[in-house]
Parts: sequence; structure tokens; C-alpha cells
Amino acid sequence: MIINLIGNNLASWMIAATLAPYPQFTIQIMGDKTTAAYPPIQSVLPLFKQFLKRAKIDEAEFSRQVMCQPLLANQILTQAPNQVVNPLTDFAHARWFGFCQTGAPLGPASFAHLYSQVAGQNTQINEFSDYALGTQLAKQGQYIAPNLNPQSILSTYEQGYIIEVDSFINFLSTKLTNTKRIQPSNLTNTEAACDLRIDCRTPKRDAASQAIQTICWQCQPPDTKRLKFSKQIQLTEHGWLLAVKSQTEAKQINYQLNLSNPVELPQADIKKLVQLYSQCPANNAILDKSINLIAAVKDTPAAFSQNHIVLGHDWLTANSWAISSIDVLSIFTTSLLDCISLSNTPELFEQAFIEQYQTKLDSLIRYQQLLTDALNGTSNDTIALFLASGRIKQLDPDLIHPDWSAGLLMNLGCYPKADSPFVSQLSTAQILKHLEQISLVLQRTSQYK
Amino acid sequence: MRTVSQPKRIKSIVILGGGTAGWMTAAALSRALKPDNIKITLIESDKIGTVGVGEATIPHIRTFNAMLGINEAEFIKATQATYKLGIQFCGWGSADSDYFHPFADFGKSFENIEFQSLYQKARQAGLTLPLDAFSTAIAASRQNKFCQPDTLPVQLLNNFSYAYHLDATAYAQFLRRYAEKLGVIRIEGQLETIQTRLPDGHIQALILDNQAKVEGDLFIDCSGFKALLIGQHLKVNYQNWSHWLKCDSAIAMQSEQLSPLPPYTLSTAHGSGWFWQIPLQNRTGNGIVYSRDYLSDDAALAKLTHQLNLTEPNAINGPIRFTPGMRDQSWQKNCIAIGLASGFLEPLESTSIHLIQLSIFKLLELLPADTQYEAARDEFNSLVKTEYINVRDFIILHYALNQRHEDFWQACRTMALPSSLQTKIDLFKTSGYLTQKQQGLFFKPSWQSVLFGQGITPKAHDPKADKLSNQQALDWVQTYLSKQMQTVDKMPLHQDWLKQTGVLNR
Ligand SMILES: Cc1cc2nc3c(=O)[nH]c(=O)nc-3n(C[C@H](O)[C@H](O)[C@H](O)COP(=O)(O)OP(=O)(O)OC[C@H]3O[C@@H](n4cnc5c(N)ncnc54)[C@H](O)[C@@H]3O)c2cc1C
Repeated sequence: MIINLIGNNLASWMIAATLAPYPQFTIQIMGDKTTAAYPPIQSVLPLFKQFLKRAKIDEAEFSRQVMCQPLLANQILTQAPNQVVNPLTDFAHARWFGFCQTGAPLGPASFAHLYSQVAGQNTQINEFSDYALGTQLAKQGQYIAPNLNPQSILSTYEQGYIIEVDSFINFLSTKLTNTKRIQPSNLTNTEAACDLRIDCRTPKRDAASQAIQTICWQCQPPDTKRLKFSKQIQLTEHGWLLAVKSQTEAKQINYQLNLSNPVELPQADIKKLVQLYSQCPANNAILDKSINLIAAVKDTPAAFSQNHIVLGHDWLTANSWAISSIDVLSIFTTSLLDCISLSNTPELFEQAFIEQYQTKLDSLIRYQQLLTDALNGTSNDTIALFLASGRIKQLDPDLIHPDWSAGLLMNLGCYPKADSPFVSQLSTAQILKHLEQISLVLQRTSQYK
Repeated sequence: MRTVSQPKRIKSIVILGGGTAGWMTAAALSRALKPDNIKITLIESDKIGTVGVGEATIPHIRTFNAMLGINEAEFIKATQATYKLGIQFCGWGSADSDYFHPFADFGKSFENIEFQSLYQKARQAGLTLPLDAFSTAIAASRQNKFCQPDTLPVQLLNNFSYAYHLDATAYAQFLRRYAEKLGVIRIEGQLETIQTRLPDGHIQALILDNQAKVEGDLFIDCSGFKALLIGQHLKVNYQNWSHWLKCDSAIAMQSEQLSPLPPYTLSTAHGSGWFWQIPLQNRTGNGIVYSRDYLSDDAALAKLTHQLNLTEPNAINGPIRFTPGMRDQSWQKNCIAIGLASGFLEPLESTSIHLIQLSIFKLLELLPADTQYEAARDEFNSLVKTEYINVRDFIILHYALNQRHEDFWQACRTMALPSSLQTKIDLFKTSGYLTQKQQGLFFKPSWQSVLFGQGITPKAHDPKADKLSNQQALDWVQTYLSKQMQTVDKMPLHQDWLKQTGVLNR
């Protein structure tokens, strides 16, 4: 089976990687390598592991060869009006949430309920995120690899990654020695003779998306410890600001300021913003035009005709604060692999693929929406149910574990009604003792490291 | 001026009905709630009795029992239970077909290639065995063997799960003892009238034939098919699915225990429905399910008696009438329906007790502190409905895929299917592709067993499997088969296992 991937970019290399374990597929990447990937550093959710598994890429090899660091948690910095927070030193407002189970239930009482009960009683207790090993490690700049043994406390969290995209593409293109690369001049002849054609090129942007702007820069502030194993999101009066490091020991921090009010900025203003948010001179600030990833996947869905799939999404320039292009591509590639047996019957393929891909994508979009709504104090079905019952709405499929969503909501201050029928039969002393025991276990585990 | 009722703290839960649903609910609530916190009362009437059937289960019941902290051996002895590895279907598909639906996967995948594709390729290399030859659970069932998977040495295959066959009345009694010990109050009596609260129409109290008035904040309707609270009182609509599931009656009959003791339920199709056979330690539960449009009650009784090689009927229960379907909402106002009051799907895949259990688990997760529970109610209703529909489609599949020529079966074959099911079948026929849910019952192996078992062979296999040649695929499946034989050789007879583990009552 000959599969042509049109475009030489992140999307085509990730698709090629998932097909590569099957030597009976001839994969041809067509076109010149596009200019540098954007955003240059992306953070990916734990579902990335599925991509690695499907592509038969050894995780240890990946983390050795690609510029990346494990991601255990996100930090959100919110600021009081008119107050500028220094993202690197001012942690009073940092709220942490990760990919983990927080605490443990006590009988039928959920941990979120137990915590809400005592949090409302002026008792001195730790932050909610301190009862989750994954977030606690990230706060301390420590790392222990999670594992799958359900008996182990190390199975209470998962990890994502922060990845330097160019290095990831290089890794894939070096590894995939059997993937053919075809120059544009030979394109038409070769293209004619394929069984499946996937167009990975980025569509031309329309005028509206032109207006959205991101400023990217790198700099080296004095204290970068806090960005080990975590990414930082700050809500500023200009838009949201993302700070990440591609490697734990890197001195450089990569910033991305996504302006909520798209305007053409003169260089002097950019410099001011850079100075304001990173407190270091902008040695290499780039003004970039990018589009919102969520809008991109919604507005330009994948399209099909016969044996031809057009990805449609604006892969190379899309960004969001919760998910990344790599996350979306991980879903695309795994869905493609699942449905490939239908590729001879385009209508059925389209039906099955769209169902898989779109419903999984929707679950990521809901995650981003949950974060946005929780921060804005807006309600939605999931938040209303959580406030009423301490439970996360169950949807199928959901790539976001209910524990992660519950952690996100709790850490952003959305607590369920305190008087759960199961919690009210426990005394405050019993609950506090339970919390203390959890703290002890977590402490021992992180010290053991 | 519109009066807005204040949310009321839930201090008392009343369960109406003491069948399997009622006592399972009472046991679970009493495990989770202390009686001084929330009082739990169960009303039942010995005069009315229970439906008295419902003896085959699926593995999820073990999670339920574990949640209650029930000792497995005690439970098995008390309920005359035997182990169950799956269901054998005879005469479904074509009149002479015979296949199993095990609680297990088929074979073993190779790297990222699913076993189904390897099996399809192996057939191209000359393999003639059916798919269900590649299941440890089925191979053991065919030899009446059983042991718990985790007792097998690691080098053998333990890729199966198990459930039970049980005496439903004994199970309800077992749970009654459990729940009463934990403070559940049982009231004997028949419901006569229902008092409602103004202005919201919530149920306030149940008045019984002995004039007792039982007040509560939340009412669980476990009154069986009568659905006294959710249906008769609150008038929640019942969606009727009989255009897809045409059987509407059943007669149950008991017979002697079987020897050797099979570790599986047997479902045998007949001209206008099917028979069940459920082996217990002390007897066998049997029954006939049929459509009165195609078979009269008398003819059904005669057919069942003949099937059991009896000269005359013995210990009959029925005819039991039912309408397949479910309530539009299982939770309405302060009333939650669980069990037959909430819906009914025929017992072809032994799913009713599971649906009861699902409702109980969801209720426990969402149990509100007060009567302001709209978000919890909507979530509960949506989850219960999704699961009913999943199960419904899977059961319809058995009827739709048949090659029999009786009128009943022809009508089943030509009926229009729910579109989700039709798509699923079409996708499978073309390519062997199966859509997969992440949650709920019936994952790929279940669908594979019925689709292959009832004669659908996909036109193509997954091209990923072409990484191996047909011969290599054949070698792979044969290697699996020999390991499976070694495993089953080591397993004792089902009966012996019950004896060895000290749970056989005889
Ligand atoms: C033919 C058949 C075979 C089945 N086989 C299986 C199977 O193999 N596996 C499986 O999982 N499920 C099976 N089921 C379903 C299973 O039997 C039921 O789901 C299960 O028994 C639960 O029933 P229930 O408790 O809801 O109702 P019931 O058992 O009918 O209980 C109703 C209760 O309500 C009480 N009640 C009724 N009216 C009043 C009143 N006016 N006042 C006071 N109390 C009242 C009764 O006394 C009784 O206690 C089968 C069902 C049928 C019909």
C-alpha cells in the first residue's frame, strides 16, 4: 500500500512514524522541509505515550534523543487587577494542577469532598495540589518516573512532555530511514500512483486569523528552577503568557505571549512587553502571527474525498494554553491507524475516522474549555455537576482522566458543596487525620527519591 | 406568587420492593451510610413476592460483592452458586450453529496487530477452526473445567474472567441479612396510596395496606415491572423497544442439577425465541423466552417441557410478561427507579443485574445531600440511558444476524435496525473494523464472538496485519492454541473445583 504524505512538516513526520512499523506500507513524504516549526516548544499531554507506543518508539530513546523534559504539572499565575506578577519569583498566586489523582477517598467519600469540608472550616491544611504526588514533585522541581503498577503510589500520576519541535522532527526523520522523501519536482508523477494521499500542508490563513498575534522570545532570567517539570501559564492584562523550558537544565526560557487584543505593535512596544513579563531584555523577540488551535481544529476540519484526506488544520502556527498541535496530531495518527482497514471504502473510512478523531478531539477541547470557564468563573455542565456532587461528567471517549479535571477545578477554587452525605458522617478530626496520613506518605515518597 | 421550595436535607431513604434490585440497593446504601446519618427503610410484600428469576450474571457482580466486603465462599454457599465463564449459543445464526461468548479476549495480539486480523490471515493459509477455538474460557467450558484465573501458574494463560450462576431468591435473602445487620429497617406491607408534597409534586410518604405511613426524602422504586412510583404515580414514559426485541413472554421451570456441571449458561434458539439453561449446585434453572405473536403460552410450555425431556411441567414460574424498553428518565423528582421498574432487556446476555448494579454505583457517586440535585439527576439519567442503549444494540445483534427460516426469525432478519448498530455491522462486514467505546459493557471480544459466531466473515482484514505472511499468522495462532491446550489440561472439572475449594453444598 502506497501512502503519500504531502508536505514535509511535523504532521507528515508524525503520521509517517505511526505507519512505519508496518513495512508493507510504502510511505512517501513529498515536498521541501518547511521553515521552522511553530510554536517551537510544545507541551504535550500524557496521551502522547499512545503515539510513542503505536509508533513503536522507545520512550527512553525518545527522551534521550529529543530535546525535551517530562511535564508533571501546570502552574497558573493569576494576578490581582493592576498588579504585575513576576512569573519567576512571585508564587503567591501560583495554582498547580497536573495529570494526577489527588489524595485518596475515605470509604465512599471522595477526596474532593473531604477537602472541601475541612477547607471551609478555617483549618490549617495544605493546598489541594499538595496532596497529589505528581504536582508536589513538580513544585519541588523533582522527578520520579510514574509507573503502571496499581499498588504503587507512583501510579497516581502520569506525565506529559515539553518538546522542542525541530528536534522531534529531526529525531523522527533520522529514525525513519525507510520513509521516502520526494522532491516537489517529481511530485506529480509519483502522486498519481498511490493508494492513500494525506495532505498535511497548512492551509492559507484568512484575513481574520492574520490579526491574531503572538510574541515569542527567549531569555535567561536569574532563577529558572521553578520551570522544572512544569509549564507556567500567566493570565495577564495583554493575554496569556506561556513560559516553558525545553530541558530541565536549560538556562533559556521560552515565552509565548498570546495577545488577547490583536493589534499591530511597534517594536518599541514589543520590547516593553518582553521586559515587563520576563524582566530581561528581549534579545530575540519574534513577532509571530499565529492562530488559536481550538479555533483551527473547529473551523478547518479534516476533509475527505475518495482516497484523499486533507488535514485542513493550521498545524504549524496554532497554539493554545492547554493542548498543542502534537496532541491533536497524536489523536489524528492513532485514529488513522485504527481505521486504516477501511481505507478502500472511502465513505466508511470517513465515517469511522471522523467519529473517532472528532470525538477524541472534542474531549481535548472540553479540557481547554473547563480551564477557561473555571478561570473566568463561568459555569458549564461539568462545573455545575462538580459543584453539586463532586463528580466529573462522564463522557465517552474522554482522553482527560476525571481526576485531572477534578484537580484542575479544585485547584482553581471550584469546590463541591461541602455537605456530602458521606462526608457529614465523619468528624473533622477523622478527616484531618486522613489528610495528614496522605501528606506523610507523599513526603516519604518524595524524600525516598 | 410562585413558591420556591427550600432544598431539604436528605435524612431518610425509602426503598419500595425487596427483589434483587431492592436488596442490592439496600445493601449498598447501608454499606456506605451510617443509620444515624441517613435512615434506610425497605418495604416489601411477601404476599406479592418477587419475579423469582434472574440467575445468570456477568463478572461485574464480583465488584459489587467486593464493595460490600462479601466473602466469596460464603456467598457461593449461600446462593447455591456455580461459576460461569460465558454463554453458549446454539441455533442462533443458523439452526445448527454453535458458538460461545466468553468473558475473555480471543487469542493474543502480535505487536500492534489484533488477534482478529491474524486469525483472518491464518484462515487464508488454511486454518478451518472457528474464532471461538482461541479462547481459554471456551476451551475450558467445552470440557466443563474451571479454576480461578489467578490460581494458574504464570507460564499458563490466565486471560479470562468469570461470573456466577446463582439462586436469585437466595441472593436477595443473603443481602437482606447483610443490610439488616447494618441497620436497614424492613417493613412488611403492600403499598396503597402515595402522599405528595406541594408545590413540587415530590413524594412525601407511602401509605401501606396496614395503614403504616412511611415518610422519606428520597424514594427508590424497586417495585418490579409494576413501577408503582416512577410509572404509575409519576407517569414517566416507558420507551417501548418491542419493534426490535420481539419476545414478550417467558416461562421458567426447574430441573435436576447437571452432571458434569457446566461452567456456562446455555442459550438455545427455537422457532420463535430461545431457551435458557442455568446450572446451579442444587438444581438447574430453565426457561423459554418467546413472542406470543408466533407461539402461544400453551405451546411454549409444551416446548419447554419437551426440551427438558420431562413428561410433565415441573415447578413453573410464569408466563411472565414483559415489554422490552426503558423509562425516559430513571430519576424523576425525588424518585429513582432501579431494576425492572426502570427498564427491561431480555436476559439473553444476563445483563439485568449488571444494570441494577450500574444504577446503584452511579447513585452512590451522585447521592445528593439535599433535594437540590438537578445536575446529579441529569447525569444519572444520561449514564443509565447510554448503558441501556449499548446493551439493547448488542442484544438486537443476536436476533438480526440469523439465517433461520421460521417466520419469527425472518421478521428479525428484515427489521430496520438502530442506525448506530447498522453502521457497526456494515463496517465490520466490509473490513473487520469494530468501533470501540471506552466505557460500558461489551467491548470488542463480545462483538467479535457474536459477529463471527453468527456467520459474518469480514471481506477484508486490517492491512497492518500484512506485516506477517499468512503462514506466519497461522504459526502464531497455532502456537497460541498449544499454550491454551496446556492451560486447560491443568484445569480441574468445575465440580471438582467447587469441592476442592470447600464451597460445594452437597
Ligand atoms: C424471564 C426472566 C429471566 C431473567 N433472567 C435474568 C438473568 O439471567 N440475569 C439477570 O441479571 N437478570 C435476569 N432477569 C432480570 C431479573 O430477574 C431482574 O432484573 C431482577 O430480579 C430484579 O428484579 P426487581 O427487584 O426489579 O423486581 P422484582 O423481583 O419483581 O421485585 C419487586 C418487589 O416489589 C415488591 N412489590 C411489588 N408491588 C408491591 C406493593 N404494592 N407493595 C409493596 N411491595 C411491592 C415485591 O414484593 C418485590 O419484593 C430476568 C428477568 C426475567 C423476566
